[in-house]
Amino acid sequence: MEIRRALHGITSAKVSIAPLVTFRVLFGLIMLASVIRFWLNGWIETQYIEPSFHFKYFGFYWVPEISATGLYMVFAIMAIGALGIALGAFYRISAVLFFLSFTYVELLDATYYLNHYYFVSLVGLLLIFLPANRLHALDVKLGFAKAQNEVAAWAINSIKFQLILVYFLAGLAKLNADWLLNAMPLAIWLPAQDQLPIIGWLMPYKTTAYVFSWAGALYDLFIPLLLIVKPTRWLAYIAVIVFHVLTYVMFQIGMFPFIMMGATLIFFSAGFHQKVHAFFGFHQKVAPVSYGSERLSYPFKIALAAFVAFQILIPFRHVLYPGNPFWHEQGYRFGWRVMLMEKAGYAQFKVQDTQGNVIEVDNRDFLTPVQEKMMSTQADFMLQYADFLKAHYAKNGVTAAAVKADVYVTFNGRASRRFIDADFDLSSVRDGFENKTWILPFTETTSEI
Amino acid sequence: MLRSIFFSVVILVSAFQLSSCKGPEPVDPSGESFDKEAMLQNIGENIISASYDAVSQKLTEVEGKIGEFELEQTEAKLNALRTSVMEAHLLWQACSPFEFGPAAEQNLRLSVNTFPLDTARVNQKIGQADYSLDGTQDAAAKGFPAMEFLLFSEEDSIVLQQLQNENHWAYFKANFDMVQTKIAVVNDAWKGTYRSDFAQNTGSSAGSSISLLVNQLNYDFELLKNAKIGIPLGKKTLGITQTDKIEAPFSKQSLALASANLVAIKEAFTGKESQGFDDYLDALGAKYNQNDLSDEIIAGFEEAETALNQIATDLASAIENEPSKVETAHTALQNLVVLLKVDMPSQLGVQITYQDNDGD
Repeated sequence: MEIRRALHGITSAKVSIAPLVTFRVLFGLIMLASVIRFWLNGWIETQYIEPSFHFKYFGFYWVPEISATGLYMVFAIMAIGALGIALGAFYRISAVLFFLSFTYVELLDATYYLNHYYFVSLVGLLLIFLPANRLHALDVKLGFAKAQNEVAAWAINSIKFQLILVYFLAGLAKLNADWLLNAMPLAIWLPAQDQLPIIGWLMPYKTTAYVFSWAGALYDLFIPLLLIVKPTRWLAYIAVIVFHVLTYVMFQIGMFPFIMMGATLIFFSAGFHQKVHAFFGFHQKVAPVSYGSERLSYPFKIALAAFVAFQILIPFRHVLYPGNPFWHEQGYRFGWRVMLMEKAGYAQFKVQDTQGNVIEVDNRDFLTPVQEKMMSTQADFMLQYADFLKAHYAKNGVTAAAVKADVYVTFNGRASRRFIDADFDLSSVRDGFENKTWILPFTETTSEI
Repeated sequence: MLRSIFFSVVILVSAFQLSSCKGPEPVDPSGESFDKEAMLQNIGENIISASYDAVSQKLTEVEGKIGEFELEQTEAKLNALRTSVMEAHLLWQACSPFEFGPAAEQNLRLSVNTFPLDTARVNQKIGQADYSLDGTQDAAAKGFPAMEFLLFSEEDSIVLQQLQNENHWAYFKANFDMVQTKIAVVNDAWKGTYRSDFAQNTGSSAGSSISLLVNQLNYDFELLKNAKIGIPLGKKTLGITQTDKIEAPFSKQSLALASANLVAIKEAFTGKESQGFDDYLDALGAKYNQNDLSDEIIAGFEEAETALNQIATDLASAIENEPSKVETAHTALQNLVVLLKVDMPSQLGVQITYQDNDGD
């Protein structure tokens, strides 16, 4: 009975829509800024148009590529969608356009995978189903939607759930020997930051790396709780700002800090958000919150439960693979493992013809520097690259009997070592969910506790 | 009760956050800060700027030899010109690893030293009295390789005869002028404000001096491994050798050029007498298994140098007659690539690309 009531409280009970409105506006604006930044940096060109080859996500090889003009149009649609979300204009269409265009671009090349891109896709998907345009929105003004002051709690809690997951799992992933006992990789990253103003002089000290490592782990693990609970909320939000500003200054982490600083405001009370709205001149008069509840249909409840279960389970799928997930990276993506390791690799591919003669591949002939860097440590990319090379040389009259690679990877400051079996024919297998036995085992223990 | 637990956790976390800002006096001796600016100053001044200056001075000497040759077209004058051009080409090898900033603006590496030379194109342009060198079709028809071709591709008497041909000589001079002008622009920039800008840009993000250096040292090193040695050895062509693709095939100076290039990259790493990447890695405590990573890299350089020096004849003959020695040199270079491209940047925590990165 208790569980039932609790579930009711976090799903169907009516609550103020105010936090969701703030979230909608901030998310839309930050996404709009992201798209403009991406465009102005010339990344549409350098990341998606210039490369002759793209790495894909397993299961999404079918995603079609598009002409340069088409791609610019997709980004324009993304920007319009983001603006539409912020303004609450043609909201559902805007959200659908944003989600589809953003996710499409992410699926075009897995090289650029970032956890926060995945987060944006998930939030984009959620927003389609959330009535975030029911207050302080153009849709209300234009009469497309009826103003309402309340919303079923699940609408706000689904966003909170995503945020909690991001932090908490990022924290769990830090509970490993390298992070806690060796202060790795921060012991490598921080000394490179010794030119920072005010705190730069602290960076070369190993102690600093330990303090940052432990503080970072504690922050990630506890910040959701501290944001949820009212007495600590303000302090927690200050910690959010300090933490994300620091990471923004130190690392090339892109828009992630801004997304999180904006998104975590959703934990604040309705009263706080109403004051913020009033400050900006939004006093729209609507009926007060009824504190009733919304009847959720059975299929909807199942869908919601499935989404939650999926989100919780997916990040842990790496436990199905033997060995160290930081090394083999099987089941690594979509797990909120952010800034957790320093890795670099070198992959010398060898295309062997039927007589045993060998072509040593110069990766720069086919890949951009970023693609080469990413491929050199990620086994699924190696398979795709091997297939690409086989096809490329077939076109040039060389029948590849095998495609092999000498790959060396350094991980958290350890001497580079062989990553895959040098005799394994990478073109002989397709990617799949089964364990890649040709990845050489990592012998030290760095597994998650 | 619950509330006080939360408060104590908050205090704990904020204490951590605070201690990371103010913190007690550090006790860890490994925290000795390395003076990156001093290293960049040394590399910028004593290695990069000095290299551009050396080749500039040599080109002034070449200019003199050109003048002398124009006055007196003898075999002796031709040989003096040849020697000075060859020396300039050797000195260029020490500038090749620094294709960023002013050099990148001039597209210097591709402009002055793209090989193998498109000899057909050169001959065609000479025939048409076309001395422009900016066209995309001329990308492989210019610079040191073109000068080398015009000076060395035939026996002395024929070269002498050809150079007295107006078009031949004009094409030679157009190439010399282009090389001299571009290198002068870069040399001047390094003598001007760029050198201090370079030394002061001590960050580790993409575009910082350390990032540019690490990136371009690696780029040039891979060119050395692939273009200078690997491709002629048949590494990209199923083992079928491509001796026509070597650098400087007519003067047979390929090996000397490769060695000079290798030494230049090594010196950029060691900083010669003063501070270099080896000292930086030592200050960071960078290890490679039990050894210092810097020692491991220097040993790798020495192994590659020795292997190149073991090749007795010119590169083309060696590839045909003693390929195992060339193979050994290629392997030594290959082993070193891993240390330079993987271990070193990783230990330096340097970003080599501009893209956003969340560290996985």
